[in-house]
Amino acid sequence: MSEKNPSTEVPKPSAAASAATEAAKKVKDVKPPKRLFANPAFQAMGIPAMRLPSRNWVIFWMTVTAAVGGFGYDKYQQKKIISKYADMMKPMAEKTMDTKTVPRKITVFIAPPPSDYLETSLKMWRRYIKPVLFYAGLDYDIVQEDRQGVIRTEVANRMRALRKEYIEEPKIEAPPVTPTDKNAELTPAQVKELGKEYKNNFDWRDAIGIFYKKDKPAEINSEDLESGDLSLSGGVICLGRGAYKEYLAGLHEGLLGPVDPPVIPEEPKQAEDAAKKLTPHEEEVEKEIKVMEEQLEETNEGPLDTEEKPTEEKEEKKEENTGVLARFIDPSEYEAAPFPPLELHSQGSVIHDKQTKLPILVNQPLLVVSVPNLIGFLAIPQRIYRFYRKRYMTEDICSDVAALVESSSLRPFDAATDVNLAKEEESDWPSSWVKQGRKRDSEWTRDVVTDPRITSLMRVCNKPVPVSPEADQTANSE
Amino acid sequence: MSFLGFGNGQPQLSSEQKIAAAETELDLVTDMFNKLVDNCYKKCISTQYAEGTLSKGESACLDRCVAKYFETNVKVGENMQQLGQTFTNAGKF
Repeated sequence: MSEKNPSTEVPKPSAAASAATEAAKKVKDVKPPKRLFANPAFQAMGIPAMRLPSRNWVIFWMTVTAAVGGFGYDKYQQKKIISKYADMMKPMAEKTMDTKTVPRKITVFIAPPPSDYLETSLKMWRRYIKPVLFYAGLDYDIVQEDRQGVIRTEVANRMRALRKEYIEEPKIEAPPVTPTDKNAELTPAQVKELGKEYKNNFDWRDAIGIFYKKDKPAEINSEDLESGDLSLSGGVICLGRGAYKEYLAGLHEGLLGPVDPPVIPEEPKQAEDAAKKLTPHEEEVEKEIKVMEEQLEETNEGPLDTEEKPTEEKEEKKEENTGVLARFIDPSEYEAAPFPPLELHSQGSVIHDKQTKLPILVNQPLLVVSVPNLIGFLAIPQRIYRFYRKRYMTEDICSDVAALVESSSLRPFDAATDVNLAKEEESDWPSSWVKQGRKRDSEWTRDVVTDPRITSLMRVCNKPVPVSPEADQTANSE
Repeated sequence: MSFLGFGNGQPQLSSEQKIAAAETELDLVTDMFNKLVDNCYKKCISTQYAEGTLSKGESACLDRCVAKYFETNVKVGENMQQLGQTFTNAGKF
């Protein structure tokens, strides 16, 4: 263009400038030469030069590899540890056992960590404890709770049921009511009663053909009875600090407390009712009464009586629904309570269950396993650290469970230090949760109160707790 | 007989019907038992027979398996019964 029209010289510099910018653009667009990895030896073999990843990609891949590799290594080690203990236990399970005996039974109490789901603890049970028990050929009985107090109630109920059995020993049960005339029509109540009795006495073995011609075994005993040393029978595992606290409380409540629920003194109740009448909640109370009256169809009670009953009954119902009972005895009353209770006097230091003839929970070896569970955003670094070091926890737990199975390192319960078993877990508990628990007088945040008469019956197979100043404090406070 | 839900709810069964009902029930129980034996055998007994008698691990496993099977069966049965009742009741006026 410029050659044809020399007169147009003015735009020439601009054209040159545009050319320059274009050139600059081109320079910009040109990618830096690819970093190639070429080795003459490789090239001689016909392997072309390789492209190397950029710095950022190298960082990315290294991080990912480290994270995944660390996790994989940890998992691999965990598996190795678990299979090591499983192999250790296997010879026990390969022994032959008579069909008339049942294997040793371990009772497992599982509580969820604070502010978390039961699944967290169950995972620990499934991963680290159950395999060991399974390969040892042991039976286990799981008691799990989804709210506080279930384990305590369960333990206490078992103890009370046992005591009741001893109390009722001399009594002979009245023969069941049998209709005198078979043709006579049964009242609906009688029919219900008969149905209940049938259901209670129902034995599946009768319904199935195996025992049609052969006799049922007269009695089925635990293998613990055969092994001779009864002090090594059974076993208790408490999974979680809370479960342990409740277990202790339940033992004390069941053995030191009354067998029947204590009667709440009436006077303060009436005073409360009177106070209630003055408050504007009267309408609600009346509504409650109406509901309760409908439920109390059978009984004809005066209006005065029904006014008091509804609240009581409602409370009971609430307890039934949650499965948690109020404490029968307060920890402060432990000392005053007589032990052993009258019905257990003949038992000595080892109390036996009447049906299985085995020592009861108190006398069985105890193992406490802590459930470390940190939650919260700020705890993430600590959580990551723990996540990559789970193999150490696995080793600890598995070795403890193996010790329980083999009953190798049993020692008497040391009231001063052993109340602090799994105490390290408490530092993981969210502080807001603990605060709330203190306010509501939760069972988990309360101090553990023990009684030497109960703890002297117990044996532990945890490793001894290192004595810390805190432990000394609790020992002194007792 | 009930007509549109009037009359007595359950028709009187003749003895033949009763026997038929009992037979089906027996079939059910037998069936359940066979399934149970099958499943628990598969689950608990290894195919490498080293000994004629049950080992401790196997018997513990069997105990748990059978107990679990029964419990599940009873629970499912109860629920089915409830469902059936609500179903039959729903058809009536």
